Order: sequence, then C-alpha cells, then structure tokens
Amino acid sequence: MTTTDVIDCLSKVMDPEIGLNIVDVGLVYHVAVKDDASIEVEYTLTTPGCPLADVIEDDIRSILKEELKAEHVSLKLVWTPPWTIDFMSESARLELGYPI
Amino acid sequence: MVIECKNVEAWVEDSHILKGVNLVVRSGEIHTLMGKNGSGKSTFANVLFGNPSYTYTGSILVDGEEIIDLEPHERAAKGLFLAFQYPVAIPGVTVGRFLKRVHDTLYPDDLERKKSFVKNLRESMDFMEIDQQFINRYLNDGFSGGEKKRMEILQMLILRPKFAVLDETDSGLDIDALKIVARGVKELYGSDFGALLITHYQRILDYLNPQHVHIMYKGRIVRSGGPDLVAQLEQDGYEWVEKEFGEAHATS
Repeated sequence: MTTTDVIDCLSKVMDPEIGLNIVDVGLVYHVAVKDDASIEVEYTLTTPGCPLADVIEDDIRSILKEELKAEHVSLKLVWTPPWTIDFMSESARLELGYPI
Repeated sequence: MVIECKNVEAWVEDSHILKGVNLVVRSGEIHTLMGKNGSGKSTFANVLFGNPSYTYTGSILVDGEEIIDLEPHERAAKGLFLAFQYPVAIPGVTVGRFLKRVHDTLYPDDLERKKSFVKNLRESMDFMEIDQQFINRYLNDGFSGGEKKRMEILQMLILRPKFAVLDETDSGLDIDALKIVARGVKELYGSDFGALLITHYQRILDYLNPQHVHIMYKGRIVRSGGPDLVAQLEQDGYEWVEKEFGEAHATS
C-alpha cells in the first residue's frame, strides 16, 4: 500500500456541499502509510463548523477500511493552513467554472 | 464498430428530404459524402444524431443495435460524435468546464483518465494549435469561424469517439486551419475509429484519403465508389449526376 493508493481511494470521497471529491477540492493535507495496515490522514474542511464534517469523516474511515483493508485509520482534522480556493486542483476549478 | 443505415427517410415539416439512405461504415474506414447544396447531406448527419427538429423513419444500427429512437446524448454515449457545421456558442459555460463535464460523463469510472484530463486537454490544444487561454473562455462565444471548427475537432480528440461525422468542418477554413483539422482526424484514425466526412471540397480529402466516396442527390445516395469519384466531380461538377439520376427519379 502506497500513499498514492490512499490518495486514489480518498478521491472517491465526496464533499457533499461542493459535489466534488475531497482530493480535488484540496482538503487532504497529508497522508502517511505506517505499515501495511495503518494509515494517517490530515485533512481540513472548507469552513470551520461545516455541518457535514461527520459525514466526511465517516466516509474517509469506511472507504479506507473497505477498499484498502486498513486496520487502523487515524484521522486528524486540521485548520492550518486555512483552506482557500487556491487549494483546488485544476480539474476541480474547471468543474466549478473557475479559470485555470 | 459498424454503423448500418437502412432506408433512412426524413422530413422537416412537410418537406420530404431523405428518401431512403443506405450506408454502412465500419471502424477503420473513412467515408466521404458529397453532393450539391440541398441534397440532404446535413439532414442525414442530423438524423444520425437524433436532432429532434426532424421526423424520420428507417433503421440505424450500431453493432446491430437499433438506435433510431435514442436521444442524442444516448447516441453520444455509444461513441458517436458529430462536428457541427455551425457550432453553437454557449455563453456562461467555459470550454474547460464543458469538456470536463462531457468527458467525465462519457468515462464515469475511468479514474486514470479523469486524473490526466487537464494534462490531456492542454496537450490536445497544443496539437490543434489552440491557445490554452481558450480553456477559460465561454464555448464558441466570439470565436472566429476557424476557431469554432478547431474547437469541434478538439472536442473530438478529448472525447475519443468510435465514429465521427464531420459536417462541412472544412468549409470556410484557410489552408493552415484545414491542415490542422486534418491532423486532428488523422490522430484518431485507426482500427477502432470510423468517420464520415461531409464536404464540398477535394482539398481535405487530399489530406485524409477516404477509401469510400458517396454522392447524394435529392435525398438518396445515388453513386458510391472510390477516390476517383471525387476527381470526376472536381472536373465535371454535378451535371452528369443530374443527367443520370434526375430524369429517372422524376419519372419514377
């Protein structure tokens, strides 16, 4: 299991508010694979107090456990640096009609 | 892929435009459809793609499956593509956004493809000699005639159809633009791609060398042959077609 596998997997998790996956939106700040069964993810949300925080967290946890058979998933919600629109991938910007 | 058109007839209001078109195009083949203005070429292209402005009957089979009752987007999902004769401007929708959305709709489960979309788009724009700034412009809005036609081919390169119809994509292009358009078609040309070029001019055919040439006259394909048919048209015009087929059909 590599960090690329984890990122590919996380790119199936949607930010329900924006309608795009959390990787393209730029919410995933850091990914580490400790041994073959243990994953650490640092992520943020577009706004503090996002009402969908629990949904996103559950989605991340369950997809990593199901698809990558991770036994231990450690999730850390961080707020620095604060997310801005510049963190979005070109692909996400296109999707939302922003210039690239 | 095999596209089989059997006895396709079409009407606009009360006007009977196509009177029984039969045509088979297979992957790996480039066909040309020629004919005078008003002979029904564009109508045929529109019927192939399900334009609701026409009523039509007959059969259009894609690999044996009937598609004549399908909506345009359903036909596109089967790998069919039409380059419009008159591309439409869509103010408010950028080129990038439009292509991304159509691409992802066509390839919903292809993660690798989706990831490399922007890179592919930029490369294809370079290949078509379209400034990358066009990604951020509204689709066809304020584009020149040549830019619109190049944009149609760019769409084709991004969407990778199995069968494309180019409806007079070469009309109104200067020689440089024509070469670029031909380059785009050549890029896709291969064993899993077939095309039908609707054109009035030999020049684009010089670049693309279609093996099959069809002449449409009054809503029917009256003659099919090889490239020498194009040479004959360039030399003699359509008069002989009228002589040969005009009278016969007028009395039948």
